[in-house]
Amino acid sequence: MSLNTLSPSNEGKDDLSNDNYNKWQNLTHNSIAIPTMSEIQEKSANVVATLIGKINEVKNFVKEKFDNLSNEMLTELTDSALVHIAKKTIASAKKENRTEAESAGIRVAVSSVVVQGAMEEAGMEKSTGSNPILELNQGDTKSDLRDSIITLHEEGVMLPNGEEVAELAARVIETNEKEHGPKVNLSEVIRALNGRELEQTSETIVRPKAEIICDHSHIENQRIDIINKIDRGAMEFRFKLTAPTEAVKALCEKQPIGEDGRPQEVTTPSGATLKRGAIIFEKTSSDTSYKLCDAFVFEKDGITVSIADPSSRDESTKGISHIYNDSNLIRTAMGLVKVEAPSNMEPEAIEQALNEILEKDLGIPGALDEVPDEAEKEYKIARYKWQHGITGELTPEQIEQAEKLEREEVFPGYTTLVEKGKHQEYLAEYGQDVRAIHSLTTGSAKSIYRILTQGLMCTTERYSRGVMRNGMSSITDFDTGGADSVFTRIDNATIRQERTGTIVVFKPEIFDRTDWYSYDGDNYGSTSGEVYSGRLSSEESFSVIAKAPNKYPRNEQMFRTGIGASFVESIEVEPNQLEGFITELKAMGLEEVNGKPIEEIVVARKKPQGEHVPNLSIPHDEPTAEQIALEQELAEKQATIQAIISGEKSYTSFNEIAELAVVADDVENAFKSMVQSIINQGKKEQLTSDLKEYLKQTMKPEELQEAASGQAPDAETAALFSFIHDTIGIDYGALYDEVSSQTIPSPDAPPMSEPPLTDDWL
Amino acid sequence: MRSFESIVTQAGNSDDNKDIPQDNPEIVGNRTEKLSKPVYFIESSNDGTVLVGIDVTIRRAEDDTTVSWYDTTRERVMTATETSQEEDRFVFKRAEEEGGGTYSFTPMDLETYNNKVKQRLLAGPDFTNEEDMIKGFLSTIDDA
Repeated sequence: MSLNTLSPSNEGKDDLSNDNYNKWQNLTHNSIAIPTMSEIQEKSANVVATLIGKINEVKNFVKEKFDNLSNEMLTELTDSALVHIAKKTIASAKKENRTEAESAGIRVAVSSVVVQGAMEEAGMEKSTGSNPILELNQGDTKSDLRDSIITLHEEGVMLPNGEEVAELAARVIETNEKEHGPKVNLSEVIRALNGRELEQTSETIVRPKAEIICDHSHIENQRIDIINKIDRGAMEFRFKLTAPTEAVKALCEKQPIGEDGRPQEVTTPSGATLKRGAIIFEKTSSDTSYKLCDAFVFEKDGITVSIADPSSRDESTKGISHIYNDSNLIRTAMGLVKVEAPSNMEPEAIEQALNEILEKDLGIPGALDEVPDEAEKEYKIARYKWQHGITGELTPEQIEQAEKLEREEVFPGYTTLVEKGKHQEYLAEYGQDVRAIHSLTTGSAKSIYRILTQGLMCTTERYSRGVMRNGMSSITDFDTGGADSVFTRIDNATIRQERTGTIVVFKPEIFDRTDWYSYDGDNYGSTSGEVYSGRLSSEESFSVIAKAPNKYPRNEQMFRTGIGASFVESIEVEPNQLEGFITELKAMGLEEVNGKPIEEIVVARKKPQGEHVPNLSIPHDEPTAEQIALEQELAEKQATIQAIISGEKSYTSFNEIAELAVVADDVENAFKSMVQSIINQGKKEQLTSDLKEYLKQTMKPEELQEAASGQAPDAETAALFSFIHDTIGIDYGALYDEVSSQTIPSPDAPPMSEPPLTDDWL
Repeated sequence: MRSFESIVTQAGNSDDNKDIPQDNPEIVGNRTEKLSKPVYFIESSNDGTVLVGIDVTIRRAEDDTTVSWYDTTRERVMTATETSQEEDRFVFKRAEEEGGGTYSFTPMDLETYNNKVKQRLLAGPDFTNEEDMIKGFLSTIDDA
């Protein structure tokens, strides 16, 4: 094979810009003939023939070395050999200012891999392994691979079947990137993150974050989070080990006591000295910080590494909650490693140092290398099994489903594997109105704004990115492990009507995620032992709702890290708060969300029509007899309300008025309207007398006293008591005096044992 | 103090009087009421995850009663088989299938905060008055 066949001539294209080409043309158009199409085609055919010849040389060599190989195995081994030759050729050449011979050798070796990979993509060759092009599409060989593909494209090199080699190669890379995400180096991620500012939303300032997908055998969720702590001049890398490596175990054993009775210094494999420290959350642009746990700490080349000691907080186990936590560890801290590098350190230097720390000190070689296809497949299968609660082997159909899992960004800076379209199966089986929801309790326009613009973050995500308030949050969810996830509950539309306060309703696509776990009760999101092993699979999570559709949900789901704003379907609020929220949100500049007007996202909750919650069964298509009876009863009551308001029906008793008012859509308005009508009928005296007796019988003395002083638990009650006083003339103070002067036996509280003192929990 | 709706929902039974405790199984229908104080200290016989309760709500349906609250980091929801309220103190028994136990709610005050709560917070600040302490707890709602 002649290298000159492939090496470019001086009038070739290696550094030929358009401008240079034009200049060259002007100089040489009379001296050098421009190749014809047939000459190009001939050259292309020569190139591919030469490369295929090289490939066959290698294949024959492999065949001679190994007997009885299947065609697929032979192809795989040939791929490996070609990749090895290419890598070796590149490694032995200079990185810059290569000689012509070096460049030519590299071009041949790499182009052979490209042609081989193109033939596999075209179906001309079959391998049991992955496409060899992908082996070169990383690290030090990536640049030469890309150059080779460009050259082959420019030369119009085609396979014998007429398909263009460069196009096939590009397709291989593109398909892989679509499945796995484009592979970027850590240094590229750091460089990109360096260019980002702190993110400010309303009053919240958040440090920017990115992630890098990496080794899954040792690192949880296959990723390292990178947080730019601009405000502290540092870049933080945060990840969790799935289990302590031998290297980490050796580092974190109790320091041996020397002959002098003092702890001996422990040195890491790379020569750094181990000290005792802590893993701390630091608020953005503030001196405020909170300790998560104690840690083993060492420094190397300006980089600080902290390995969490989840058994210790303030050098003690005291205070670690053991409820929903049989490990007696700070579960959120288990396996946690934090690495901090100065911001002014070169990204490549950081990458190199981190690689060394991971390999030598933490015992994870190749952690930052691209994840091989086989490893990725293993990971997908493991994730599929975990999500669906499958303990045995997967069926071929299930394996196929697992391999289809795609990586998707579900929260800014956080990707996970999703099972696209899975939510449709859940909705078809358990109800189209089933949704995951998150309660904001009373909520506020600020929190609504934050969720609609930033999404929801779990506790550890908030704290690690510097978002902290006043430290008044309980630490219990750090101990149980729930702090790593956002809590939701699964509701149907009927149950949502029963709720109070503000709730975030998520799109059903959220259920496509494969990073959530679930319980059928309040387990505080625990990840501990027996509790965790009893968690529900995703299918079971829905069937629990189906069993008791009208029961207020005690289920809980934990979605890892965060839920992006794009998953928000609506935010349901109390009807009397809607207008205020909309006004405030608009004043904060939020007029629309994902192209929809804010009024379509922030909506008033539909209140239940009656006292009884219809006993819906699944499917929700045909109403039951009970439902029909309830609806009729409700309709009759509402008709009676209108009859009283219009004067068609006379006043009979306050009991009737009270019973009717509570079934109205708007209790306050219905009550006031009926009372006004009764007064207009000339029945005020009777109403007043009846109401006095009624209140004396139903309200406790202290409640009458509170009403007299103007106190009320909510706005509606305050308005109604005020109306009763102003319109009907009820004097709560006088009623209280009347009631207090009577001897009324106070009820005995049901016998209940006194709860133990707090100290018993420790 | 109960809400207006909670009070008048007893109107259906004309023989009812205020001496009947709220867990009277004769009372039908769905009723939602909130405890009157904004923040409670919660103790339990067998549940160390409870500490602070904000916006404590009791929902009484035909076949069950649930108690829910916000605990500074997330919503808690539990099934109650018995409830009792005496002055400002509220107690419920949790359903056995959920782990059972008794949960007692008393309004949060400075003494309780300093002696029993502060050390179990991430970084509980010092407060000189109850109003600021309550405001501090209520501000955690924005992180919900």
